[in-house]
Formats: sequence, C-alpha cells, structure tokens
Amino acid sequence: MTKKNISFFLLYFFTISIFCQVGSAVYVKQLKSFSANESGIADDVDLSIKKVLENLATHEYLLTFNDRKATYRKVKSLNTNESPIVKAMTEGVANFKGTIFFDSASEVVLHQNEFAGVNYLITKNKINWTLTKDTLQIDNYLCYKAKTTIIINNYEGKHKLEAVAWYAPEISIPYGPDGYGGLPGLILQLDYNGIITSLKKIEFNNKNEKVTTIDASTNVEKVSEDEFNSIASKQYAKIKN
Amino acid sequence: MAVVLFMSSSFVLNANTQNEDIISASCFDIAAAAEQSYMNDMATRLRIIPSDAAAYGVFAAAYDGCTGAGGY
Repeated sequence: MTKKNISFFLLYFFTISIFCQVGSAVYVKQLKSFSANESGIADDVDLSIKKVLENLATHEYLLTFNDRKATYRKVKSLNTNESPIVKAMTEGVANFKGTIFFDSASEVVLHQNEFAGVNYLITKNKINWTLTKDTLQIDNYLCYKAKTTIIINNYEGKHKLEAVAWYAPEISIPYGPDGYGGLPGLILQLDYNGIITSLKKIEFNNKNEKVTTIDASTNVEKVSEDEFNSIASKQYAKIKN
Repeated sequence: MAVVLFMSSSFVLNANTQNEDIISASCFDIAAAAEQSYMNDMATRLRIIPSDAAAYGVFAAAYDGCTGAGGY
C-alpha cells in the first residue's frame, strides 16, 4: 500500500469519526401496559387515560449532540389542543419534563426544570450501571444491555425500580434519553418505570440542529437531584395535609 | 403554572327547591380530586410510580385551570 493510499484511508476514517460525533436523535415514548396502534386505543380505557396516551403518542424528544456536549428536550407538541392538565398528566406519565444538558468532559448532567414557579438547575446523580453481555438488534445497531437501580421516594414511600438501557457501542457517544447516559455508546432504548423510550430516528452531521447551552441570563436555583426531590416532596405534602 | 397553595378547602352542599342536589366545590377540592384520580390511574392501570413533582404538577394544572375558568 502506498503512502498516498494510507493517507487517504486515515483521512477517510478521521472524517467519518468526526461526523459520527455530531448529530441529532429523536425519541418517542410508549407505555408498557398500554400502547396506541393504528386502530387506536381500546375503548375500555378510561377517558382521562385515553387522552393522556393519545397526547403521549404526539410527543417527540430531541437529543442533539456533539463529541463534548448534548442537550435533550421535548420537541414542541404536535397536539395543539393539549390542555394544561392533560399536559401535566402526560409529563408525569412520560417521567420527563424540562431540558437536559450533558457534558461528557466533566461527566456532569444538568436538568433545567420548572417546578412550583421556580426554575431549577438540578445536578443529576451519577448513574452506576451494570453492563451485561445481553444483546438486542435495534434497526441496524447491535445494542448491549446495561441496568441500574433507581430509587423513587414519593409520598407513598420508597420504591426501588430497575432501569434497563440498550446502548450501541457503534455510536460512541455517552448520551441517551431523559438524562440517562454515561455508557460506552448511545442509548437507543430505555425501559424504566412502565415507559419504554425508543429511538425513532438518528441523523449524523445534522447542521440544522445544534447543541444549546444553558442560558446564563436565566434566573435558576441550583440544587442537587436529592435536594430537588426533597423540595418537591415538601411542596406536595402541603396539599396532602 | 405553579401556584403555592395554602388555602383551606371548602365543600358546600346545597339543595334547591326542585329537590336537585347542587354540589359546589372549591378549586382546591377539584384539583385534589383530579390529582387523586391521576395517582390511582398511575398505580392501578398504568403501573407507573409517580414522583411527587409530577403529582404536584397535575394538582397545580387543575387548580390553575379551575381558577382560570372562574372558580374560587
């Protein structure tokens, strides 16, 4: 092989490597126990749940990424008739609202989230993943299974839940949906708390979508994830007591 | 959306001359009922453990919707 050929291949792989680190991914969510299909949602489902499920089916979540940072947020809802209460219920079912900021260099994940009239910037807890050898083919990507235990402390008590992520080492970026990441590949599917969040499409070198940064002018209260959960629990307890 | 709620709940039961019961509830009661219904659905139908923040969000949205519609 000549020096010219070697140089060409080096340049080719370098270029591919750079382009693969920049892009956008769209995720959708569905319930494990119910799902909307072409024939719609079964008639025996309560009207309020039906509205929430129909609304959830219109929601898409966008992850924009480069080799250093990523942001994740809900794309503006396609449902223009979304009432505030259905919106709030859907956010609760979806297990997510706000915007996530990933920084792979510092390994910090921040969650900007409005709650009770206050704009919080929450530092997410680091996730301790257990990597397994289980595999799953998702579209063209061979994914590996990773799992972790998440504890939800709510008004009713302490709940220990397992989160399962399927990540693709072929897409070597440590991001994923809902603030989950830190794995040796993009999370293509997340199974957590009755919801499956799946990759709908991914584009590399997408110049239309750029990673956004935290707006420094926004007045935010900086808290840890545990502090935020404590604030939310105290606020919720006020209406329950 | 968010409101900080410290108002006490009130629940008034009236009956008119035609023997029809008219129930009027405060926005707090309506929001609390919406939130409780949501919590029940989450637990029994959807198998989801809701966070306190999500439950509060439903309460606040229902309360704001009620007051926005002229409730008290």
